[in-house]
Amino acid sequence: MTANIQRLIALNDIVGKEYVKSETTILSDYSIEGVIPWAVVFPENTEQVSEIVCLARKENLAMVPWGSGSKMTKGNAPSRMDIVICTKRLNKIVDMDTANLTVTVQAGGKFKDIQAALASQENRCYQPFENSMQMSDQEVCFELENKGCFIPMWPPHSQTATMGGIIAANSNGPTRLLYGLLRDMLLGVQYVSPSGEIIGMGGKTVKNVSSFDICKLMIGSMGTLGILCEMTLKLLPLPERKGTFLSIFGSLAEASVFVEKILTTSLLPAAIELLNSKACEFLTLDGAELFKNNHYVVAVAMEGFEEAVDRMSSEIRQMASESGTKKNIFLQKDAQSLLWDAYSNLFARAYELYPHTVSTKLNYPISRYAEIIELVESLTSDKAVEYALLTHAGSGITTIHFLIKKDNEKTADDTVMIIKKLLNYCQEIEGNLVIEKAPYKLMPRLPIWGVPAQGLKVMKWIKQQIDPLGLFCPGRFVGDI
Amino acid sequence: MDNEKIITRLKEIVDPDYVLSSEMDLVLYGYDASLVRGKPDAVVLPDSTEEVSKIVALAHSQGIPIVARGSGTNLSGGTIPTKGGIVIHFSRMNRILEIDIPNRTVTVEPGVITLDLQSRLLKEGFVYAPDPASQKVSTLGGNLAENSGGPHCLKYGVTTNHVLGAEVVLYDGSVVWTGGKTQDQPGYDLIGLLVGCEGTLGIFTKIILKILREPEAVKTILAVYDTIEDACNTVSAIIAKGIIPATLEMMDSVVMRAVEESVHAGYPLDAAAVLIIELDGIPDGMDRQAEKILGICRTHKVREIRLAKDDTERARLWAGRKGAFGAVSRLKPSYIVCDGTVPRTKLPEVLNKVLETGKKYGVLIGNVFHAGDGNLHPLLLFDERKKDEFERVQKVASEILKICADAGGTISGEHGIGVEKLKEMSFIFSESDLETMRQVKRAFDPDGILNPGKLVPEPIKTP
Repeated sequence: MTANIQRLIALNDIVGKEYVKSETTILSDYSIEGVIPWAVVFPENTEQVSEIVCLARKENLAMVPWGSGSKMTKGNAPSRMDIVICTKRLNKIVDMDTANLTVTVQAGGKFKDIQAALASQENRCYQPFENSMQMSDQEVCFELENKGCFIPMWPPHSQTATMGGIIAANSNGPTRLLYGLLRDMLLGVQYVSPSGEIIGMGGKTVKNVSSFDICKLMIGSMGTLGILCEMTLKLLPLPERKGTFLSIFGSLAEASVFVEKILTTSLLPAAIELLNSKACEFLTLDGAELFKNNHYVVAVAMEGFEEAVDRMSSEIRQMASESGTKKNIFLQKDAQSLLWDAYSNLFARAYELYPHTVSTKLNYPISRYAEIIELVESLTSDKAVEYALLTHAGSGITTIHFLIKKDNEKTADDTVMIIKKLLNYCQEIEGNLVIEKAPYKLMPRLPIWGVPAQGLKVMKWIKQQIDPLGLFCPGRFVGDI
Repeated sequence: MDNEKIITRLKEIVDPDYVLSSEMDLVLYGYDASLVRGKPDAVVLPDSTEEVSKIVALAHSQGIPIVARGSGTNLSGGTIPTKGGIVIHFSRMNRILEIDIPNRTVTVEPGVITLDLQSRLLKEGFVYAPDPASQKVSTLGGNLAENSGGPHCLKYGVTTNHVLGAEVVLYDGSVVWTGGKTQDQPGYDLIGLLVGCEGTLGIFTKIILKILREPEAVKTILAVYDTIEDACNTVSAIIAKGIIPATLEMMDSVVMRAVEESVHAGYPLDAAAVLIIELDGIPDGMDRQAEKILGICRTHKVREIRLAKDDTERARLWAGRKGAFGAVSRLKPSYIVCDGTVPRTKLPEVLNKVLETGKKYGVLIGNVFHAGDGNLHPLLLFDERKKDEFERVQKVASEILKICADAGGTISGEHGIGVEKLKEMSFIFSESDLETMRQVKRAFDPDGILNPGKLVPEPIKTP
């Protein structure tokens, strides 16, 4: 163990003793599927991250970056894990350039804190052309009719998620329907490579073809190619008006009719979520109708100009009644925020009540969502398996939480079988499935990363070039990368 | 294997009529829309993925470079076989394979011309959002290789934001599908790397694109200004106020005069600059947004505002903008167009410096660009037959890119690095950054046969 003690001393030298933890009580908070590091380090800036990686490289230590840990249940157990590099202290907003509609943040900053800062950012100034060649600081600024900006996404785990983790896990939310995905918002990254170097790619411009699009490579790469330290994202001005229209249906068929109606118009809702009644139990909603078996709720989020939201609300209300809705609820302001906040943090609430939950995310062609839901219904109909189901209608994504309270062999077997059948079906229709979380005893029986892509060999070539020693999150990723 | 044998082998893979090797053919495929020149050893026009795969496998086995080519509208030398080799031309692979409205995708072969796809989709009430100015001629394969932009990218994003997947031929001729019709595929975003790789990582043989419903309404505004300053300030003000129109384009008087002569779009010949501002989406609230924009224009001394009354007028306005690069040949026979892109807040400062640099070297510069993106396109006009003009212009181009880099911007927003901007890569990348690019290149193409000499600068040789 003397080697580790020497390494701990070296780490102390880089970040300071109080920021290197090796007590068992703390280490167990940083375990991944039962694998525990022997140290957790809390660097203060990118340079320290670089020094840590250089040291670890010399000593052939396997590293895992860690934000708030909300998505560490994704992926395989690491084949080795020596130190966890926690980005908690890299939490500054580096540059809030709302007049350029970009923000640069450090990876460990909480998403919700960044959004709060952006929402109150009123600086809307630009340097006029005539003054631009002089030393003058005279800018033209606008009245505060503008109400700040936002990063146009509602990521899962919004209470705890860090920007670095959101990007590393490619964790998108319901408004992907209107605003797109992380790959449509991430403009630049600064990260530490497996060789310990600080790499900068992209920047503050909304268009950039000066290199291979390394930003895209980093998204969803689960820490296997670099430790993200800083990122620049595109912003939008906060919408004038927001509202959410909830409609309860007595059957999937009727709910689908409603969804189809919306998708065939040229209306542009921010999100269309199709939920089963069990999912609604975790939301901040009241009403017995919500929780009846076989009932489905469609939540349509709308935001934008007042006139646009008004029109969407009234047309969507009309469509809901044509589709046979049992009840409509319209939410605004605080009620709407609370709902989507609960939605985002549904995982955490479910795990509290059902500690042995298996969560899975399916992706499939957009039009097949109803079939998928029907399949889940039929696979579970004769079993005592409860599940919360959430579909991003219009995106072809469904998340299912199989809610398991106790460690029960029969339930576990059933759940594994159901998931395998779902994967088969998704695969046949050119989709896939990944496990978001499962009790680690169950993981060896589950298809963690679904079916490997045809391009897996290329992914391995990339990993081999960038991290030939396999020091970043070894074994965690697809194909055991 | 000598050249004769290669040609013979190629004629066994592809219909012999489509293997070109005469002197004239080789010269014809040795230039594009840039000033870079080269000469291939053969040009092949395959008709299927299988044929492309066999061609690449053959080339790889013989260590022969491969350069893919669509319509050759490339502005940075990306389609030029600067190290010889085989040009694979995709004009025969030009089929639209499937339009899948319920899943919001269209699958095409790489040789489909962008505007042809657009016209076909409009019949279904759908659009493919990216609209590079070259769309009448350029192909989707080329658009992907360059990650092309276009005026509507301000609101909708660039090519890569609309590509879901592709069938790709790799360095050794093997074929893989990356991405697909579905979102959130687990693994690395290979399609994200391939789009914009300038043909250096793989060759597209089928492409799956995202399609969107045609917007309900469109409003096109031409704002006329007496000074470039006022036009520029309007752009900054619009973005600073948090308004994102669908397009926000600027053209100056140099370009407008050339355009009027060729296209007769109705631009005012005595104005210093115009802005083409377009809004699209659902009409509710659009009038109010337009009023806001017009208010900003008026605050910045707009001389005249024209609203396109109908599709014909709209088409005329855009014909002018899109025909701009071609039209400037009336002024001088050659141009270098810089593609520097800067944060929007830096636009006035940078444009000012660009104009100063032109004056300093006595080079005529015309500006037509995606102002809302901060993507400048100073057209440096000259006659390439006059050697001293050529040299002066190259100096100006390089200085302009340095100005953009120093302003926190980048050296290419949409035209690519190709050969043209290799030297300027050091303005924005460290050696470590470039080494990362080389790692990616080595991963995909260990033997360096895919469009060698493009995009990725050679390492600095230590003496």
